[in-house]
Amino acid sequence: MTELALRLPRAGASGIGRAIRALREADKLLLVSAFVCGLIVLIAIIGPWIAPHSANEGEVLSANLEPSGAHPFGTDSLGRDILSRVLVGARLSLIGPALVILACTVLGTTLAIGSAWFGGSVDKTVARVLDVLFAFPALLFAILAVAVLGEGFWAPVAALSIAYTPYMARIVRSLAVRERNLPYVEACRLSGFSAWRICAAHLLPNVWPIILAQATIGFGGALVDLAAISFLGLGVQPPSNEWGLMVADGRTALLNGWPQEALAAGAMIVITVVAFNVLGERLAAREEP
Amino acid sequence: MRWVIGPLLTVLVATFLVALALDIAPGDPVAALAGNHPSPAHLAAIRHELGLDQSFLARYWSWLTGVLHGDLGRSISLRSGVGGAISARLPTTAFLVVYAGLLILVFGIGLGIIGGWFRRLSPAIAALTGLAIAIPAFVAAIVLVQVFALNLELFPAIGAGSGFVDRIWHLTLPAIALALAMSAYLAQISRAAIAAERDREHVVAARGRGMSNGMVFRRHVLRNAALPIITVSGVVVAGTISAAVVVESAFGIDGLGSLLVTSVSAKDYPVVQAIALILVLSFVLVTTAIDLLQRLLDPRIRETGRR
Repeated sequence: MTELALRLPRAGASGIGRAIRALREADKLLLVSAFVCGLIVLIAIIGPWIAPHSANEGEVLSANLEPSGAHPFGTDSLGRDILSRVLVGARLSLIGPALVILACTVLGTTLAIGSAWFGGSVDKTVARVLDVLFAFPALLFAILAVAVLGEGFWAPVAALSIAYTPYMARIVRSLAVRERNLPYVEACRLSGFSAWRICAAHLLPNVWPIILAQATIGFGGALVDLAAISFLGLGVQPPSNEWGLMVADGRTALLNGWPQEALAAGAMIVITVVAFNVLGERLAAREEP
Repeated sequence: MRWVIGPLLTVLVATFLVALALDIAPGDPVAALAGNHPSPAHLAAIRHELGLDQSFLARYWSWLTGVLHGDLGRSISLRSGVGGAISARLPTTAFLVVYAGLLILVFGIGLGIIGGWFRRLSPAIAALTGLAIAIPAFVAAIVLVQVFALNLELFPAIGAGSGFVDRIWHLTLPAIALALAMSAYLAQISRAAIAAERDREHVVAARGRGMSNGMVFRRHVLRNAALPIITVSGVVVAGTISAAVVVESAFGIDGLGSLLVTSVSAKDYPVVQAIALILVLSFVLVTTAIDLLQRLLDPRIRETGRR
C-alpha cells in the first residue's frame, strides 16, 4: 500500500505539467523507435487500402517513370506504382519475421527454462542438440529447407524458426539459471507450488522483459534473412509483393538505369530494421540498472 | 582430443541430417534426367546408375566413404563430377570471404577501438554502426553498384575477374557489401568492451601512476577487452561464409553460393549436399579455432572448462 501512496501525484501538480515532466524524463529514442515501429506495423495492416494505385497492375506505357506527383516513388519496369507496391508489400515482409520470432521465442524459452529447471542430463541433451543446430548458419539452413520443401513462404519461415531457437535458448537459459537460484524460487517450492506454476507464474514474468527485448532485436535479423531468401528467388514468388523480391526485381532495372524500385524497397527494409533494433536495444537498456 | 572429436561429430551429424532431409524431399530427380516418355527399363537403369535403388543408409555410407576419399559424387544437372564443379568455384568464394573478412576485422575492430577509447567520438560511432548494422548485404550491393559502378564508374557492376589485381578490382564492391553490417556489429561489440575496460579501477590506477595513454591502452585495456572482441570476430567471419551466397547472386559472381542457389532450384541434390558440407565444415572449423584461441588467452576458461 505504501508503494501505491508514493506514486500518487503531489498536490498541486497539474495533469499537463506531469505529462510534460514524464515526457522529459522518458527515453526519447525508445519513444521515437516505438512510434516508427508502430507506423510500419500499421502500414502492414492497412497498406492495401491506403495504396494510391494497384500494386499488381500497371500500364506498360508508363514503365520506369521517374518519381512525380502521381507516382511519388516512380514506377517499375512493368509500369506498376512503386509506392503502392511498397505499401502493399509491407504485410508479407513483416508477417514472415513475426512468425519466425514468435516460434523461436516460444520454442527457445520452453527449452531454456526446461533445461535450467531440470539441469543434469536434460540440460546436457538440449545443449548437444542446440550445438548441432549452431553448426548451420541460419541462411544455409533456410536454403536447405527450400531444397527439401520447395520455394515459397513457409519453408524459409519454418527453417529460420528452428535456426534462431538456439540463440534465444542460450540467452534465456543463462537468465533462468540465475533466477532459479534466487530465494523466491525456493520459497515457492517450500510453499508447495508445482514446478509448472513456479516457472510459468513466477520465473517467466521475471525474465520476460529481456526476452521481449531480444525478440525485438531478432525481428530485424529475421526480416533481413527472409528478404535475402526472397532476393535469391527461393522465398515468396512473383507476383507477390515483398520487399526482398522488389530489390531483386529492381536490380535488373537498376543495371539498366532505373534504380527507383530497388532503392525504395531497400530503404524500407533498412528503416524497419533500424527502428526495431533501436526499440529492442532501448527495451533491453531499461532492464539494466 | 575433445577438440577434434566434438566438432567432427557435429559435422558428421549435420551431414547425416542434410542427407536424410534431402532423401525425404518430394520430387524425383530421375524424371528430369530421363526425358520425355522414358521406358521403365530406362528409368530403372538411371536409378541404378545414381544408386537410388539402394537403401538410404547404404547411400549415405557410400557418400561418406566417397567424401573421405575425395569423391563428392556426380552432379545430376551438370552431368559431371561435383568435385570439379566445386573446385572451379571455390577459389572465387574463398577470395571474397577472405577479402571481406579482412575488411571486417580492420574496420570493425578499428572503429570499435576509436569509439571505445575516445569518449567524444563514441556517440558518432554508435550512430554510424547502428545504421550500418541494419543494411542487408543485398541492399548494400545495389546501392554500391548504383553509386560506384554506374554513377562514378570506378568499379565493375558484375563478375569476379581473373588474375589477382583484376580480381581485387572486381571483388571490392562485393566484399564491402558483405563486410558492411558485420563490421558494424563487430565495432559495436569492440566499442562496448573497450569502454567497459576503460573505466575499471586498475586502468584508473595505472593512469594515476603516470603511465602513458598508449601504454595504459595496450597493457590494461586492450588485453582485457580482447576476449569478447576475438569471440565476436570469429562468429562474424564464420557468418560471412554463408552470407557470401547472397552477395554472389547480387553481383553475378560465379562462386559456391550462386552454385548452391541454382542447384537448389534445379533439385541437384549431390551438389547441394557437397556445398552444405563445405559450408558447415568451414563454419565449425572457424568456431572451433576461436574456442581454442580463447582457452589459450584466458586461464579462467582453461581451468573451469566453461565460460
